[in-house]
Amino acid sequence: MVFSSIEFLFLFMPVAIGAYFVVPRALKNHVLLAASLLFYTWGGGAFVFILAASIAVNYWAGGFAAAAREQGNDRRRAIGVAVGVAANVALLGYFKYANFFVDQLNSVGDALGIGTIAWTNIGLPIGISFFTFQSMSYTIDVAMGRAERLRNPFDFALFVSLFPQLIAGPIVRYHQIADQLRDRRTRIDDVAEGVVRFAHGLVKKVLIADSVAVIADAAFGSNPSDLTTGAAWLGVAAYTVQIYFDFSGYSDMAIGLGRVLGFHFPENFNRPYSALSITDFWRRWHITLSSFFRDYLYVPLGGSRGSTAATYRNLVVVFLLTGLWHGANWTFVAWGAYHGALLIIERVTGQRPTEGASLPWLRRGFVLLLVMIGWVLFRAESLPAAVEYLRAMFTFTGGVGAAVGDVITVKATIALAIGAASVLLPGRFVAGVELQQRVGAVPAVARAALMGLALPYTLMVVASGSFSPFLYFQF
Amino acid sequence: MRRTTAFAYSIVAALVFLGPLLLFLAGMRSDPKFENRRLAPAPDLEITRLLDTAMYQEATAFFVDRVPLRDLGVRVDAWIDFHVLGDTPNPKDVAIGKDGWLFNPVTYTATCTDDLPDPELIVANADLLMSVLAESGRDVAFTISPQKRTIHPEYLGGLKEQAACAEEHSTALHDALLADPPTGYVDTWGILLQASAEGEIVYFRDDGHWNFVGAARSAAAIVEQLWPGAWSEEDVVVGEDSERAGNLALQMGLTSTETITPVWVEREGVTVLASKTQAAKQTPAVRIYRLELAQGATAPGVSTLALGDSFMGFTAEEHLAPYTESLVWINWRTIGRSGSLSNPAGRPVPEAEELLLDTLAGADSVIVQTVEWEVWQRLSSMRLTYLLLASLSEDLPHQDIAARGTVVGLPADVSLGSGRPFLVVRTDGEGTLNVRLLHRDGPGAEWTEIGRGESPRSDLAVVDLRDLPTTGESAIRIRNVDSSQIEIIRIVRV
Repeated sequence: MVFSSIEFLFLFMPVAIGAYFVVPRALKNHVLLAASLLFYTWGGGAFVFILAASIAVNYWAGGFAAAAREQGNDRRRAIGVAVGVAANVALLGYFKYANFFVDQLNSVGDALGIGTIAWTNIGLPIGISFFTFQSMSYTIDVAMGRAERLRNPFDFALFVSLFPQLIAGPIVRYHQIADQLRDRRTRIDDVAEGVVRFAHGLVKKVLIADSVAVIADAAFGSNPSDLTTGAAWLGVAAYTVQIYFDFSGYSDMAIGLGRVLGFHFPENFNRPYSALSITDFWRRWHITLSSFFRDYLYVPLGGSRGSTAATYRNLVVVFLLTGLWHGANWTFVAWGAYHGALLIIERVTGQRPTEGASLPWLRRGFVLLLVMIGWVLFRAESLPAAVEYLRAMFTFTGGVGAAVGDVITVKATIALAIGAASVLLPGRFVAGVELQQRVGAVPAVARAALMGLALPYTLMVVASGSFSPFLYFQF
Repeated sequence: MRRTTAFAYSIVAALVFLGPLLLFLAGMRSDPKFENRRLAPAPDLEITRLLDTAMYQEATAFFVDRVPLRDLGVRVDAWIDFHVLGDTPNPKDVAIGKDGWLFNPVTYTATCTDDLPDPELIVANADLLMSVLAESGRDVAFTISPQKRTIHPEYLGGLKEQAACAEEHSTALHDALLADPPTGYVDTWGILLQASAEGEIVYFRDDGHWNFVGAARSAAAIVEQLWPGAWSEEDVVVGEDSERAGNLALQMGLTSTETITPVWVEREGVTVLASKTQAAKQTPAVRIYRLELAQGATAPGVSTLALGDSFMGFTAEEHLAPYTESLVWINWRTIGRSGSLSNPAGRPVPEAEELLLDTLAGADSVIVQTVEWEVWQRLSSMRLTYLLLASLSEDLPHQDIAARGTVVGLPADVSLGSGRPFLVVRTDGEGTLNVRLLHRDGPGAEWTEIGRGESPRSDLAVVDLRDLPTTGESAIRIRNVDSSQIEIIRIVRV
């Protein structure tokens, strides 16, 4: 069940939030937990048992590690952390990557004539990449003393399964909301700000991301030999807008929903296409994931404290895993390696400003170009398809072609223009945050326009998405 | 944010998101007819299905179909897309041409492929189908209704490039039809091309079909084919302009209408009555018309079967029915493909095929009409032709074979004589009949399989004997049913 669906907007969300506000404070977490498990089961069915098992193992591992820390027993604490991390990595490895690795082994075995492994593909539990990372953060945070362990397993289950961020993030680390899990209050301001933030995200997702998606889909779905240079660039531009507005829109909705329920989730995006360097980009894009990898992998590996070679090695490891986290495909590995390589080049050349650099517009344009090239790797079905696509981008052929030309509607063009124009905004202007928090006449008018015009229109577009008439009218 | 503003936004959000649910609980529903389909049924909610995602999908479909104000949302969004942005909200199903003319993209995308059969094969198959009907003693008319884009390409506008490839196939098909017309062929295609060339509008703007003017012109040619001299322009009535919602506008979610001119036939002393049989009740795709004749009034046709698609819907009652005492229009979709019988909504109609054969048995005239883009698929299969061939075999030149057994020898002179020979086998057994054609050089030699029968239905098999060798011995091997359950082994010539 996606947030931009009729069933979520007009059935699940009002019932869940309504019930949350109606019940006494002592029962609010229970209501939220029940709603979250229903939300998961709605789309994931029996995979809810995987989620439940993950909750149980991590609750035990965190408790064990926290107790060991309180007793000053570092060895037992390390065992608790190791069990928690290993359980999550194993879960993720089995459900998300086993099919991929068996495929690779079978390809090699087939090529060498040494046989293949008989294997039935495993289904992927939705949101597994997010809930395993959140669970890991709990074990590590309580083991390190960053936050107190939870004594109530239902509160922990709620932390892992909380529906606003369960299937698409942001990745909320335990210490960031530990206090809120135990005690929080929702004021009218929280509800209003949350609603505005949610509406902003919904508008971004439905009006911008979904509108330009048809162009990206047509371009990346085209036969590479039919893809003209113009169509290829239009397609990657559309995808650049789509992925940002889709993902950040979803994060806005999650943050807004969390706020309505009294939670303060971390920000996940900060104008990433205004980055002055790739280093800067990764401080602005999917912030909760990059900071998770930084704090729980890069720093423990030694970060940049060791030799130059060790730093580069750490970067490569982190970014290969970042790529792989996004999906079990070589395209994601290549995308991670590409970004890792760019970061190393920036370190070697010393060109990794995050602010105050000279020629900022030129830098932003160049970084955006590099990011767009990376999106080709990310979006293509396979590495050969990515290579073909890149070839089309950089080998001049005229026109746009019928496949892409057919889907360039006025609506898609406007959405693409608005999405692209967001790059031109001042570097620190994050519309969602401004709309949610800023005081003054201009933000007030913008909020009113959002709630009074954009939101109703967006809901009509959502309704239109469900329109499924029968063609043979009268017959 | 000021407290009053915050309060206002909270109220707005509650109204927007909770409102439809409250209205739903109060019994309000989205217009159940605005999508012209059956709504999703109530979900089967059971505790044992709690982990079954299908249950949640059912619940979702049930709620989404009924959520109040959804129809309003769809309509307003479509209006903004079309009238403000100039876009189609549904590019897969509707494309916008010049001056607001709407086209169904499938009419050019479906035939823009190199996998289409040769036009000559389609024409030959059409000829065989119509020959079976004609040689069984019936008057026949066969016509292909051209696409809107074929007749009015001047309104394609920016769609011309996409439609160009399909246009080549259209021209090739029309040329093949004119070069070697199938039995009973009526060139409504040429008539409408001519009308369009003379500046006449013969298709709707908001609909994929011919308008009543185009339908009347086509009907006139069909009537002339079946009942020469019966059509009179004096019987043609042109009504007052009225407003009509086209199927493509509705497909976009629009409520807009276009001004149309109704044209129909009124013959003196003749009243058309629409009646329904059990099959017709179950499916909107079978319609039956009968005449009430005043004293002295007559109709040239007695019992007419029309096998046609939605184009027939604009001419069956208005123009054709007044000429025949009974007209049964059966939609191609009702008789289904590959034996799957269903009406356009996908519900099975097992009676439809029986109705087709029963009506055919009593019909003295048969009209076969198909739209251009679907003729490639409809007439590349021999299923319908073989079904009718088997059904009408008694009325066609035939020769029964009395022998029964697993292997049945065929007469030596099968491939001689006039007419194309077919072998029909029918059983009253349970299994699906399977017939193989065998040949050997002489007694004692090994049988070799040289062909297989096609089974339009499980109890029927038809073998084309056209290329049967003239030397040696030929036979058929019958599988899946016992020889005692074989009703007929018959050679039929068409």
